[in-house]
Amino acid sequence: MRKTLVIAVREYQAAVRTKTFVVSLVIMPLMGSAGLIAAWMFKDQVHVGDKRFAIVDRTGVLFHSIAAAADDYNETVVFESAGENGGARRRQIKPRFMVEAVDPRAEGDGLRAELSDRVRHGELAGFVEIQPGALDAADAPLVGERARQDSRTSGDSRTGGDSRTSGGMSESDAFAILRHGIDFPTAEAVGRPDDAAASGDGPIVYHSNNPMYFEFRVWLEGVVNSVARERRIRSTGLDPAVVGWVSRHVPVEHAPLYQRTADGALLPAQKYDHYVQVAARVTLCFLLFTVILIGAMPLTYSVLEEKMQRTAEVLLGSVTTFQFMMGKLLGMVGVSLTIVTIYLFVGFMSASYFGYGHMLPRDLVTWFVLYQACAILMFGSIYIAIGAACNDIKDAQNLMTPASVIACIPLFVIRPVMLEPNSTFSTLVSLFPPATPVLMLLRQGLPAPVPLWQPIVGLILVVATSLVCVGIAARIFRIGILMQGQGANLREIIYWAFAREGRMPSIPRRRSGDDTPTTWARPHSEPIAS
Amino acid sequence: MAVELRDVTKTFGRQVAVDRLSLRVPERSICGFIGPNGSGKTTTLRLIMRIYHPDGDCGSIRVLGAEGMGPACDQVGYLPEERGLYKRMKVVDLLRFYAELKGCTHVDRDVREWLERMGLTDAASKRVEALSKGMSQKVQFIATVIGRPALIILDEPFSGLDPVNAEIIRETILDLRRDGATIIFSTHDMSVAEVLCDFIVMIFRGKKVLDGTMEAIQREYGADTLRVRMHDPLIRLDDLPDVTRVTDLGGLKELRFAANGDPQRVLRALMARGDVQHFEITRPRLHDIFVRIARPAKTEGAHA
Repeated sequence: MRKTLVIAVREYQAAVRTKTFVVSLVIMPLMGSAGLIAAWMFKDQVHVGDKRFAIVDRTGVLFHSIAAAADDYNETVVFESAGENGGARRRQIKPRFMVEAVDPRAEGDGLRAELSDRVRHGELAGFVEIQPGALDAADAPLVGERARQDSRTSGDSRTGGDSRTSGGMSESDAFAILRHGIDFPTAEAVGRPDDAAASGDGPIVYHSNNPMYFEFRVWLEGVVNSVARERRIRSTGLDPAVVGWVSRHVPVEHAPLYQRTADGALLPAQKYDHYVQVAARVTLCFLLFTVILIGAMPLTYSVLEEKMQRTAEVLLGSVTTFQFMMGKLLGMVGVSLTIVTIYLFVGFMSASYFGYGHMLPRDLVTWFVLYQACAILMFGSIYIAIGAACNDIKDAQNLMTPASVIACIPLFVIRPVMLEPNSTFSTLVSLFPPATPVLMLLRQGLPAPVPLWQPIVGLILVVATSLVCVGIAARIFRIGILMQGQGANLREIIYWAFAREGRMPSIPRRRSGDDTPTTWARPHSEPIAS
Repeated sequence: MAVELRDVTKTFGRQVAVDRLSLRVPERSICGFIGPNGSGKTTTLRLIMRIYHPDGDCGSIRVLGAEGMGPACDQVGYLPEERGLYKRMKVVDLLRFYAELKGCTHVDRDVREWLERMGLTDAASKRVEALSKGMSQKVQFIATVIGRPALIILDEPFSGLDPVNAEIIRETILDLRRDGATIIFSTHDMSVAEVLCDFIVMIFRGKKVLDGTMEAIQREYGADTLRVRMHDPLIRLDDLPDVTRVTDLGGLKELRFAANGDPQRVLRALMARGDVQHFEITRPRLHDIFVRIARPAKTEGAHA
């Protein structure tokens, strides 16, 4: 144990007592939040030049509404609201929409080609084709079908309550009008122009050569639907107040659970705290994931360097391969614990200073440390074995890829786990040892309680897997570390890992005439004197 | 015995690196391993160190009286052939690290003493990567012996050293032996082996082909060597009677005569050809013995 600790201390000091370590401590969180910082820094970097759109309006009524809406948009939406700049000079934050009317009587294909060319040449940002029955055909079939479905399943669920509107119309009356009293025109009734049917397009199509710019399409959709809704309401003769009431949006808020204090009082649900707490816990999981990767992966390069520089054999004159490997692993556990201690300390101190100390996930810190130590042992032993089995960085990188994919499993499933933290899938995947540290900690950090047996079983499985990984890695390590020449292939590594000890002479060779010493060492016995 | 090997075999794939090797190295002796490249010297040393293990149930290895002795033992110091030190560590930190690994109790004192002894005091605070090859080799030598082990195994300790540093290492090895250590080293330098070793073991193609003191080995090969210096160094000597081989050492020629040959007859033939400045009947040098063993086989191997 003494020798293991001596090596661990050297590994720790070699990693920590460097400028690179200090610099990376600062850079790592910056890199982690680089996306947010970049978004904040470049939020004003928007092209605000006018965007010109051609409108081919075959309804004969929409263009004026669109032009009016564009004028309104250009006067209001494209500028910061007054509150954001304290009433000073308004700053433009979006491009203005300039719309031009195109004669809809022009021949269809020629017009389309000409407008497309104008878009390609940069004269236009896009053009819109509005077919004659666009306003009537928009969603008539859907409404008609829904009405028919509603009539088949009518009534029972609606008869329970019958609140009345301010105008004296009951809720059921309003539904009755919407369901049965009006004959909505269908698409079939309106009919479609031949050229639209030929092109296979919808009643209104926006053409552009920039699929990523969708702001105009969304805006136009809103304008057209607003006009269509107005026309339909007018055509039914309904009271706009009734329609407004019927279509009024009812918000549903999400809030955390109530809690009782020690004296029995009910604490109100603090929505803001709730989100901050969840964010802090998810951040903790990402910290764990990051530290696992940055803690374990360098071990491959460290071992590879010792092997290539022949330092390993010098050390093996003083220690056993197992002591050597465990020393490196424990050293790296120490390094990773140092990293998180610094981050957690700074995070807690900062949060406390700004009054958010009570939102920090103190209850998860113990689990965090346990998971982290085990994860470093588990992944570190795998990366060490890879380093021992290879003879150059290229080989090592090839073998590291599958190990890194396994380490990244939590990233692949983080969304379903966050949405349904206690589903069968989430439970099972969080009990899969390579994913347990991050996913179980994530589930423990979410508001839905995780049964205590699950983190305990997860930790036991992680410890067991770590021991198995360390054991297998030790077998690979003690053979590979002295092997020079060509690196081992996967078949040989598996053979080293699982072959019965003492059978090494029968190891399959890679090629005839290869006299690279590939040997098998039994476990070294403990020293008889020290 | 400090080291005892019995019928030890080690194979790598189909290649037999060490073939039923038996060996005994007495305590407080200096034993030199010689042999051509790839003959199995390093493998034998690694077997003694228990870095490698012999095949199956082939033979036994006892080190310092115990079979379980391995690299974890602080009483064994090992200097491998391939030098490897942590390049970014300071010399003093590196030696502290190895001293702690070997369980030294007075680490700082020992490190300081060894640095002074090897003339490296000024380099103590330098990084290893800043040292010359000779200096880093001396640092590695200190790392091997700093724990004052009872058995010191040195694989090619003199390779790459200039004569001054080689002399420092040689003297230190003798001092360590005087202090009670047993030293086993491998070398290609026959002159060093001749003067430094109490026992010499030659391994060739995995087998032991020589084992004994220098005197015993020379006695075994008999006094079949003549050293001759002629006034005219260009006189041809390979057709002299009873002479089977001539080795040109420059001014001096080494002649090997047949087992039933007569040195006096050779001398007479020499005098008939020119002025003889030096004539000596002597035993073969270790180098000559080495070549006698290795060359024919190499030739065979080349024809194979």
